[in-house]
Amino acid sequence: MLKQLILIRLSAFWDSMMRGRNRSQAKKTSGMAGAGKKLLIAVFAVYIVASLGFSVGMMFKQMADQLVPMNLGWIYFLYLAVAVLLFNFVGSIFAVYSQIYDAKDNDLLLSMPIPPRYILLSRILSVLVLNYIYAAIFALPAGIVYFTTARVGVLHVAFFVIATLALPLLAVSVSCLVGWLIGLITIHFKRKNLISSFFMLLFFGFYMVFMMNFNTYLQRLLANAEDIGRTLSRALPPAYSYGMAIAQADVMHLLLVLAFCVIPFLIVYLVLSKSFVKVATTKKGGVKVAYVEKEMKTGTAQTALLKKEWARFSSLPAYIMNSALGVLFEILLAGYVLINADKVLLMVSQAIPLNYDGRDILPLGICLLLGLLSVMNFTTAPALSLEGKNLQLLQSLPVRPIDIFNAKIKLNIYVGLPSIVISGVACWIAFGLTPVQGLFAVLLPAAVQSFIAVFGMFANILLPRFDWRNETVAIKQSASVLLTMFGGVAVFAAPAVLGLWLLKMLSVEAILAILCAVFALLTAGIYQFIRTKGQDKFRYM
Amino acid sequence: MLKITNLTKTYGAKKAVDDLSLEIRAGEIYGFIGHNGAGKTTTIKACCGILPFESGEILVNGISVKKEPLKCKQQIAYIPDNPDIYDFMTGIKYLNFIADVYGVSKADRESRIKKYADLFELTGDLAQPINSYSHGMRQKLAVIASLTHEPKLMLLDEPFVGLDPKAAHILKGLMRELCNAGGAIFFSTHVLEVAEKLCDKIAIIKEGRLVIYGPTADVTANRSLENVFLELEEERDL
Repeated sequence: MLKQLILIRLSAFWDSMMRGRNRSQAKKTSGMAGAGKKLLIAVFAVYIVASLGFSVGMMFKQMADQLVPMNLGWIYFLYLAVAVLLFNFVGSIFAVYSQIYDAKDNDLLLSMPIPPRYILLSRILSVLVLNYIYAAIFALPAGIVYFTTARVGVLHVAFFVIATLALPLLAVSVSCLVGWLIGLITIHFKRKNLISSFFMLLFFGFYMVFMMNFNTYLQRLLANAEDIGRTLSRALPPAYSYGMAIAQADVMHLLLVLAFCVIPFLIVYLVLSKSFVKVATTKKGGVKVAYVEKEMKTGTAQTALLKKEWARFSSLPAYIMNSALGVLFEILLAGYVLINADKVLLMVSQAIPLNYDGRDILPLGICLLLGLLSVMNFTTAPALSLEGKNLQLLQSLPVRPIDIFNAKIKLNIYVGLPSIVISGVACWIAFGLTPVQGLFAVLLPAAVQSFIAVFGMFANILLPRFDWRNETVAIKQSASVLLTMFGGVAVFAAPAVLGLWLLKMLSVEAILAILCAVFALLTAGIYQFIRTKGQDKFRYM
Repeated sequence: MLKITNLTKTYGAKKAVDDLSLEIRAGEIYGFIGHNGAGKTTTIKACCGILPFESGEILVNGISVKKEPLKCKQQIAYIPDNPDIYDFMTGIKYLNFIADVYGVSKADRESRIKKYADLFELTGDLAQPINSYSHGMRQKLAVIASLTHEPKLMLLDEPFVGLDPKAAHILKGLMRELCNAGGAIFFSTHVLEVAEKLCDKIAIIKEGRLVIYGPTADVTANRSLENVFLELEEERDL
């Protein structure tokens, strides 16, 4: 029974990765098309694994080169443990909440003759599988780097495998507790999604601060490895034991790692299995709001569609976090350059030349950077997929498909535009750009934003996905989102490279004007497709 | 009001609706009956302009659904078999959204929403998010939304599923009211007793083809509708 439940969970997970069709495509994909899709996914997976593995491997190589000769391998693994635990925690906290506390099939499963503890265990194990994938991103390259650098015995490798398999159990235990706490807090709030967004932003903020300062931390660590290691060992005993168990092949510490990871996991599992039925069946209605009759406002159908898009966008924290990350970066960048313009200038000058052929090319670099940030705002990419079961409701309304597309495109532009203006003006002031250059610091990102908005819409019309049970699947795991994310960067890179090439013969301002025109033309071309073939496709979805 | 002529709709190799012709006149409540997968929902969705179809013609008040879908949709109200409505909105926001899309004036929407929400006892819940609604409450909201623009033709797919007896009774009354005012209703149902009592005319569909249709009394011919339906089903099985 438990095996069946686990298999169902895993197949659902696999299914959510591999499946995705609209009704006209549902039964058609076979043969070459199916094989082509699998090949594409395989190529993409290899690309992701290789690039992640390479960047993580390079990071740990730096550490290994310094720590291994000093016989401080335990600190190397201590850092690995911290990275795995942090990544596991951030990656699984919201999965825990939706999988365990807010799963949609709880009622169905609880009505069946299945012990609730089995249902809970199958859920926790599915999160654990996710955590093992996250752990592998760090542990595999780090392990390979260390064992090829240190050339230690098989026992070390065996201890590494055992201890690394145990580590995600601790992360899951903490995630379960924090998920339960979030549930407990949000149940009393009217605007649960706002609270969830706040928590997400908080976690993401910590993560970003850590990643932005990673090089500084790494340099500090390498300079004071032993002192920092000792401090961390006191603060995080499981990570310390993990480091000692592997680096020294210490059995005692291996047993301690297992105790640190397995015992909390068992306690959390036992406590949750006692209260699972109560947690799963607690009515999550929150506070009831009384309806007070007010004067109603009227609007056009187009405005109504736009308001609907905004309501959906603002109600889904995952949608905001995944599809409008550029807004966050643009605002952070605006604040940062206004306070630390000199520092930024110094950092940029160390990374790239600011002069080309005696000309100042900083304005071009700034405009391109701001344009690149706009690529990260692509709310249109999952917008059609998010209609899901509501698609036919939309199709039954007396509105043209293009009105529906326009509402989604407008939302994307309206979401991205304020932060584009803020960051553009901030850079204008901070770097003392000329009025024309300052104008382009707003115009180019705005042109890129319009392009990404129509490109995302185009991708979602071509590759819609309506069969999701959880919106996150449409937001994060759909082909249109991946196409917009990576395709958008690729399409952005081509004109950007053209701009750099044109430096030989044109002024920075002229290049910026050409780039704006290129993106405007691309936008118009794709919009024309949406207006014609896109509308036809919508009718057959 | 609704004229379906030689409608054919296929999914791959399967004909979901096969050469179906039917006419629903103003003032009529037309029941549409058939086993699961017979083609009822496909027919209704084609009439709403949701599903494109290969051949045939559908006219709403003389306007072609194929050629002028927006004009047709403006006169139609459609309630799907499953009230999947925007979970992220509150009830009142959803009603306002529908009213905006159909261009209902401020005064009309205020009075109609009040009238129907009070009638279905949903007024107190209109400020609640739809994701907190029960199936029945969603169905009531879908019915209220469908009535805000005073449609001439209502296309309803299993409209009584999930409604409590009182709400079902109210809906039946509203359906009759709409027809008395010159509108028409075409609805599918599996509740044969309701169809028998409520409908002026009945059509039974089997494997995409109409097998019998006409005034209720003619279709039943002094038998119960259940017996007629079961006899036709047995013929299919033989």
